Amino acid sequence: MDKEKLTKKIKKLSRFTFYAMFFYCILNCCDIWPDNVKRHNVHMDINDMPLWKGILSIAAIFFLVVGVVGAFISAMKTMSYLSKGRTPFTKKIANRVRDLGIYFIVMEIACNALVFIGSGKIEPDLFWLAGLVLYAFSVVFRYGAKLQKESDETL
Amino acid sequence: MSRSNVEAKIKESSLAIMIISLIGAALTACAGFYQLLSDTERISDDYVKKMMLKTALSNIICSVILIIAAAIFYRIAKNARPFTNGNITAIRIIALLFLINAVLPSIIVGMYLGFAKISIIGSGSIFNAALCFFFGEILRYGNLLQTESDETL
Repeated sequence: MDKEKLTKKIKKLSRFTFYAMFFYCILNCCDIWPDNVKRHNVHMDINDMPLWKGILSIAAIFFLVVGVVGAFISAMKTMSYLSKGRTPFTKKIANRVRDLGIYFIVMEIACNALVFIGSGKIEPDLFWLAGLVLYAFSVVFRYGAKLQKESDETL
Repeated sequence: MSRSNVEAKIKESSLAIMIISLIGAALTACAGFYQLLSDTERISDDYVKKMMLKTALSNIICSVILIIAAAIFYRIAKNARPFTNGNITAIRIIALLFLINAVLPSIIVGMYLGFAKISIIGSGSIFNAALCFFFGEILRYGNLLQTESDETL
């Protein structure tokens, strides 16, 4: 398959992923997606809690919301850019993939901190690994951007 | 950042991720086999037993995924070349395993418990599979650029 065809395919796939993510977000917001994702129920009573725990919980909730919203917006922006751009390898995309990885790690740390404050247990998910993998792939995208620049200069 | 700097960074980060993936794979496999081989006779609830089986199967598939991911990062760390045919195939295998993870454990447990009691498809895994497949296509594009660059040089 030549480069043009592959670019078209990538554009189509990213457009499809963009709409799928949007649809997935709406279904999740309405809580009607039949998922088997692990759910945490954390019960906390502000009256029984020391001040430092309360402050930490509020900070963890803040970072959790920032992580989830940031990851979602970053992923949507990346897909939107990929569906419009000429090539997937640009510095902008590399930075967005790196940001996505950072948001994933923030999300995981905040979620675990909240669960730990509420229940005294630590239940790590694989989001931290996904975050690290995305960070590594952001460097791969940077390498791709260098190759793209070389290719453009040759033409 | 020059190309050699980027290559050095790729090597470093890939090596770190490879080690973390291998540790993750070992832990996940241990958890999966422990759940699979543990004495479930003490548990009276059939639903809980079968859900444990589902989690065990899912953990074992996840550990295989992590081993393949570690192999990809090992190759990248070795050559500093992420866009190779081998990596594209490996990413596609990971996508396929995510699809299997989304469906197979649920179907096996569903055969025992009935499909009304459990969600048949794990949407998270399907989403991961789609992302891996999509990423495979981006790697293919990168592979074309890499071939062009090698031919020019």
